[in-house]
Amino acid sequence: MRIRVPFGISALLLLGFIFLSLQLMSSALQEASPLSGMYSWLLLSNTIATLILLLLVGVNAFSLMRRLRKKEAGSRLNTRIVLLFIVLSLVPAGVVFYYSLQFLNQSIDGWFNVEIDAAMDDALELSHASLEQRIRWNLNQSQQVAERLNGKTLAEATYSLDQVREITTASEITLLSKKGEIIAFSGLIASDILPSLPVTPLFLQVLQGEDHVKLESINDELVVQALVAINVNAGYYLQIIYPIPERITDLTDSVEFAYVRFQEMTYLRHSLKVSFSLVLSLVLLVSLLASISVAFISVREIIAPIRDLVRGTKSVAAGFYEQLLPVKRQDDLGFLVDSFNKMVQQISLSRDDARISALEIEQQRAYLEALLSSLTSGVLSFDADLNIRKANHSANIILHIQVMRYFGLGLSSLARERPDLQELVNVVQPLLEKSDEIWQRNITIDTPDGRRELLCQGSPLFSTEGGYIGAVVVFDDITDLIQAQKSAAWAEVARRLAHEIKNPLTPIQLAAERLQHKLKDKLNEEDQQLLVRSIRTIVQQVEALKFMVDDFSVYAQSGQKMIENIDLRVLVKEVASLYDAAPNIAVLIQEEKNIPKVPADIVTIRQVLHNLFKNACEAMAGNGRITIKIQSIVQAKIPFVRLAIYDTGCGVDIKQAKEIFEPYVSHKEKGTGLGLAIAKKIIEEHGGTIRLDNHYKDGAGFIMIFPAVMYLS
Amino acid sequence: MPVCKRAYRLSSIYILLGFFYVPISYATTDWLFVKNMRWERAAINSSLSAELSFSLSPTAREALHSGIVLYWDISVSISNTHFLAFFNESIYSNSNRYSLRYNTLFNDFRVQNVNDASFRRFSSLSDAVNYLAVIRYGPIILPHNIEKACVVVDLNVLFDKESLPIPLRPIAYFDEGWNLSTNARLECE
Repeated sequence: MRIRVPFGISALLLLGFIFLSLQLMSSALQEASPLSGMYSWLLLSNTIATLILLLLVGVNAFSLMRRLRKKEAGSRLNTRIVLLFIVLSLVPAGVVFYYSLQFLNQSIDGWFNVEIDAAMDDALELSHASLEQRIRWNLNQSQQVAERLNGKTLAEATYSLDQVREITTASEITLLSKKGEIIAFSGLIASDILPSLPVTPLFLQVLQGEDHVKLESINDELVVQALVAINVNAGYYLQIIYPIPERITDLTDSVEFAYVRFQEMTYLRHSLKVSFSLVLSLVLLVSLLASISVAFISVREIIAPIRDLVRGTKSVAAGFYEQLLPVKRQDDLGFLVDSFNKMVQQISLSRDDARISALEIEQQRAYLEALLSSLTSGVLSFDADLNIRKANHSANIILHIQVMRYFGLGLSSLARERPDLQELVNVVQPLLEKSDEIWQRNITIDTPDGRRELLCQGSPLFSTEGGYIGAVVVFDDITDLIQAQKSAAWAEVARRLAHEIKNPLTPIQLAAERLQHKLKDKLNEEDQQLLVRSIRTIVQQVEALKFMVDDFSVYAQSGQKMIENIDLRVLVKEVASLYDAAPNIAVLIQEEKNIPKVPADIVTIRQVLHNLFKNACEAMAGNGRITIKIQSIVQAKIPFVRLAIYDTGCGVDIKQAKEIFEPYVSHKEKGTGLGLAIAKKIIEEHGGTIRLDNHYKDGAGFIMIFPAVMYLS
Repeated sequence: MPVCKRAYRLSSIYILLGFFYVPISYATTDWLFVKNMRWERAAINSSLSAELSFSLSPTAREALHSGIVLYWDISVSISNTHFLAFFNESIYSNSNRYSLRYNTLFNDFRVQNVNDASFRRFSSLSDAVNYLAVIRYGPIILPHNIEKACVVVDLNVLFDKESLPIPLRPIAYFDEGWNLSTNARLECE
């Protein structure tokens, strides 16, 4: 588990501790202070606290760097403010630090200039010289005392010790034997019976004939210890202790103290500089860390609303408008947060309105989509650059192409995949480019289902502001309609012809036969033969007219049909067997298995097959091959039976192909031109289609499609 | 493990080692060490004697001649041994504080026992430190119950850096010339 120490509290506590420690250190610098003994501990604790603070600041700085690298919100502002604080604190503190160090070094060096050093040496030398003079004088005085006692007996000498001591103002006089034994003693204090200074260390020196004098200290009081020989031969010695006047002692102590103190200070000069520099550096570092800590603490307060704003912005960007930011402050940032909340509320309301509008638009679009899909007319819409933008399902069916694959492309792109649509493109494209009027054209295109007649209507589209935004083209496949109209017209013609022509034919034939019967015996042989030939011609032509009228009658009337489910394969084989018997005719049947049955009137379908086989045999002039293909196909999930009949005859002239199924169109000399028209009519009455296979080039090919039983059931 | 965490740990180790550097270097000095130490155990009066190799570093010598007084705390402690050293029980301890100063006026060196204010003067520094180098404690009367038991004798000679002038103290902790302390132990005597 990660323990998070609050930086603000930690930094403030550490800073408080450091400042207190610095204050105590300042007091401890005075030697007399009771804290002086704690100086090192204070310095150590101060250093440790500063290091901890430095570590805390370092961790925060590292965290800031990481956030800056991640480009987190507020990290740049945070960095700038921290850097600003550092610069603002470092520059004046650095200047103060620099000049303080300079001042300190110069001041400390000033304390120890050469003149003072020389003066201190001189003072000490003077002090030493003064004492030396005193010592020499005391030695001289001691030697005089020794000369005075010289020649006296031991008793006399002992007796005169007190007198001599008083004369010489000595504090002690001790008479010693050659072995250093005390023979007599005279002291200033009567109770003293022994000398205050031992003589042993110096006695050997005196034994060698050298008088000795030395400065000594007794109970922190300076004295002169002199050791002289009274009578070398007799072997007596005299130790005299002279007190040094109090004034001289004080002055000497003072000079020595000052000198020692000065020496100590001189020695500590470097240490003083280092120590002061260390403390100043510590203060500078603490000041810097304090300002950085304050920067981090204060920036957090400033950055917090900005982070909230960024969080809020991200929420809004993600589509969440419900969460409002807390307004914790009453300053500019608080005003900014409040404004943000109001903006978010407004956006939320606008978004709801927009959502409702979008929903309505979507509903309308779906409605239009459904409307377009349900239209039997093909619809193509274009943008302002005349690129295809939208197409309905009927457009795909009529044009036999997935128009959606060409969205965003021009109309001419359709013709690249389907060259047979080039005619459509050639007609429509210029009309679209005019873009200022409504137009209507009949266009014939070739499709896999044969030649189709399209009724195209185009209209430019304008925005509510009146700007041109594209065009729409609506087209209907009116092939069947035109065909139906033509069929109806031809049926009416046939019916009238049958009615108007058939009625007078029988009287004409009867009248001709009567005329032959009445005149046969009255004419000579030559005229009689002429009459017979003429009458025969009339009768034959009347018979031909009757046949033609019958055909017209069949074409005109929609006879009653006996619909039953028939197996088209069986029927085809039955009819084909009649033509297969011909000597030079070959009939080839290619059939699939599982061909569904077809609901049809077997009589009329047989008539259609006879028509087609008869036409094929006539086209092949009795010599060739008839190929029959029977397939089961599915179109738009609806099963059909496809029956194709191909011959190897002369084929159909491409110019006649367009109107080959229209009545009274025939390329045969004796044909009425009603055979294919009747076949088409019968097939369409069964819900099927018949068309010429344009791709077959070895003769004529007809493709018939019948609805299968499964569809109807 | 993320790099930053490793860095934190390494930094912590280095900081801790930095703190321990001072006491570690404290014991590695050539200026002062115990040459020999002898614990003479007797039925009634035991005694401890030790001889130190005592010399002053140039730094300390310069400070001494500059009037700075140097202090040592020389202590001896005798304790009975225990299976766990923490529970050793002190049966004798003695500590004396000595100062060494240079007297400008007399041009001599003074060694003073601060405890009883007695002092001795030496005309040379070598005499003064030689005086300090010889340590004798005795007679030491041990309790009857441990007369024959194992005892641990510890001798500590600690130079008191905190008695130095304030500006010199921080430097003294980092200057080898001020490592003028030593110690020694006699186990199970």
